[in-house]
Amino acid sequence: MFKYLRIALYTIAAIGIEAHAEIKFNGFATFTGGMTTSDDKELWGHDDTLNFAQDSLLGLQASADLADNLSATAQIISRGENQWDAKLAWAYVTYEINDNIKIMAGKQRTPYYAYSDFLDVGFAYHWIYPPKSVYDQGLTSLNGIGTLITHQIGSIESTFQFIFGNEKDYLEIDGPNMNQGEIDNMTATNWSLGYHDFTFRLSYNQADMVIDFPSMEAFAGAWGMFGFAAIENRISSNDDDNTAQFMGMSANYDNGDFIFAAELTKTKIEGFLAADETESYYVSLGKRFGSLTPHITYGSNEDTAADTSFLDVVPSGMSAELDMLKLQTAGAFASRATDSEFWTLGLRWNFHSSAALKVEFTSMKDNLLLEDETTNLFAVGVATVF
Amino acid sequence: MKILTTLMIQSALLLAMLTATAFAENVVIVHPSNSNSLDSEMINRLFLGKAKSFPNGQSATPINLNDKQALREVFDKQILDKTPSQIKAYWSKLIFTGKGTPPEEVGSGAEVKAKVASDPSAIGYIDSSAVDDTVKVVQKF
Repeated sequence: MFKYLRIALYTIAAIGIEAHAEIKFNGFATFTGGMTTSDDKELWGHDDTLNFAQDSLLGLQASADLADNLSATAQIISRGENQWDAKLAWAYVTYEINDNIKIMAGKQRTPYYAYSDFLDVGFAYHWIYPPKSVYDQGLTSLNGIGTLITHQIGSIESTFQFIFGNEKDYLEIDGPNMNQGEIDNMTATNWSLGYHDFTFRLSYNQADMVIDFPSMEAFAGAWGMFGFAAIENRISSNDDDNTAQFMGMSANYDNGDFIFAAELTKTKIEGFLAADETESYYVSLGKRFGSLTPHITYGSNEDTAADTSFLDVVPSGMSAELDMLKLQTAGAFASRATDSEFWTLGLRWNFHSSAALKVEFTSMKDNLLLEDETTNLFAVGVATVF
Repeated sequence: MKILTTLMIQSALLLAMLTATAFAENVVIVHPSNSNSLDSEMINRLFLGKAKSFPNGQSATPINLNDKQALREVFDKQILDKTPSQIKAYWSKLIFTGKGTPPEEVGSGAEVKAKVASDPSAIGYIDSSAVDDTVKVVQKF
């Protein structure tokens, strides 16, 4: 709704005018279309019809210096996949204690991994899609308070970030249905070291997650009815004893000629159905030839199904219904396992200093399927900043 | 003998000036009270927002030319070693994540000189022919 867009912009304008501040506007836009190459395959929301709404977006950021060392920033993003409804992505106040320490309070993007906090700014990186093995997740922002500490030690730049906050958002876990998800007490920490053209980054995020998962609640309820309260609690994701941990490490190199990016991430979610442990990585290489940058990337994603040994306490053969429930529960957990890998070949053309045309071809292989395991996706798009 | 020596010295100076002009037409300038000595790497860091103060700890305010000025592109290439696209991509990672903002931009060398001459924390770059004693040169490029 443009209502929030107007409210946010008027608020910043009001605060700005009140404080005799100058408001700076910056923006970014990505107009991208994708399509799979076979008529019965889908990948990342695309089928075999070229679709530009799914991944396109427009972002507008307003920032105002309010007083000494105090500034306010708001970012609104309008996504094609949400019928271009404008949503407040960020809205926070920054206080600079000194040249090295900043405090930020408000709604901010959760810096899970290397590209997480500027994932929407397509102009900033060479791919159309940053490797989905790592970057395909919801709950991307949180409301909280954080600090950014930068330091210089000789030729090394160190950046340490810590954010603490909460968020409620909709996630797509159970097929196309949106599940209400909630992150509580998320502590996000990351540390980057920059040395000449190299950057290394380590991150660790931990949160309590509550996810509304109707189909699993049905299972949980059934176990409760049979009198297995412990199993009911184990399966239910509605309670708040589910801890999620997100760990990542990345290395980047860019000397203006060659680009190298690699990242390894691990997600562990305890306490409910979604895969117990997910391990993903990618390696990407690119080279600049004038205004053209061809690149190649390989990535892999593996979700290990949660351990179902908690079902071993259930005696078999006592009743047909109990046996069936045990089988279905084990099956539901096992179905969360995934094992896929992909190759991406792409080209970025900086036809203007503020705009780039990108073309990309991805081939994804699902290693758990016995036939027809490969899906190919072709994508083309323009990314700009203004 | 004296005349010959003077002539030689004058020719040497002329040669030096011509050489300097031929190889270094532009200069990086700071306020005359700024006692720091800066190398290209330090200037690079200041204009990319990686360093916010001079080596002696004094706060720094880089003054950039806007991207319509030819000298800006020379500076970006020689000191920052980046193309205009690379600079925009670099700053977009910082602007849109709240981690930094690009240096202030002005539209002419005269404005750069005026700002540098009046602000002890300022650092900018101009054509060497515009240099006078209101500013101090720290680097040529």
